[in-house]
Amino acid sequence: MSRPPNRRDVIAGGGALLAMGPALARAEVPMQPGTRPWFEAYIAAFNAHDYPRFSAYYAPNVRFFGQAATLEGAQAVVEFYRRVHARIDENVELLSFVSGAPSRVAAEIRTTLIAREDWPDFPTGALLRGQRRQSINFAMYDIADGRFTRIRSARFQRLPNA
Amino acid sequence: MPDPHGDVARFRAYMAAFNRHDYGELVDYYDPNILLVIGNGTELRGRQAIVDFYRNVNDATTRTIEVLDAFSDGVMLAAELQSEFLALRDAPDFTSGPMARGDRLYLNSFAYYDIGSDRRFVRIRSAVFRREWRRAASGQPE
Repeated sequence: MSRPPNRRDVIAGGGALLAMGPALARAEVPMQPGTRPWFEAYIAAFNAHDYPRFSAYYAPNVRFFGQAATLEGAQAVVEFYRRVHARIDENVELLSFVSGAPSRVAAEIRTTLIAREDWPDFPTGALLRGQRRQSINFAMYDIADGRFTRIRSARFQRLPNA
Repeated sequence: MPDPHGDVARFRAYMAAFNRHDYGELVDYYDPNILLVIGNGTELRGRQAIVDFYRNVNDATTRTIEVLDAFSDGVMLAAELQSEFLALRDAPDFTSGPMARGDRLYLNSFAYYDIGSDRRFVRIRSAVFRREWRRAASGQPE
């Protein structure tokens, strides 16, 4: 697995940014672990199903306590999402973010699931093909050495099916 | 002006007041139009509604909250809380489920506190991550 982007990556790319003009250079932000831009890049990679990029945020022994699974290890988390994404379109949206950098961040996330096929034994409840399910979850991410070591999600609300 | 460290200090003082059942001090941390949303769907609006709710909860049980972690960006504070409810008498209508005298309920929860310009809380929302019952009759976790 590759490593998550950090400040050095951004500085290394700084020359190219400056060549593009000051406005774009000002728009760039340091990708320090635990900051909102760093976390937003994780969310973007997740929504793009960019497994190498989003799994780079996971420590090898990450502990994952999600709504649909409890897992240990980066590989197990990636395999879980590959299985889910083969049958469900999943999109996550960052609603709120609070940084306790460098060791912890909190995120309010709206998750939208759209089943591409029937999944009667989906862990959070049976899904029918085409069914849309939304929830808002409060998640805590423990961070060490720039990677998530523990991810915990608590259900705040399940939204009415749209 | 945002004051993340001050927010956390105030939050810990707020929780200390909560654990003392000092409702007079408690309300001073709330915006007059505060909204409290608990993960079970309960929504309360206004200082008095919240105090009345907690008075009712604390009538049948004692609730002690431990702040496991708290951090703020000056606009919102995030906290991980460990709550212990101890039933002082039978409480068949307790909000999280019936309790018999001596039962204990432990909740590990994540909460967000939106902070207004005067540093008071304008919205509080919480979600339960883990729930564990310890029944007086069995003494064993459920």
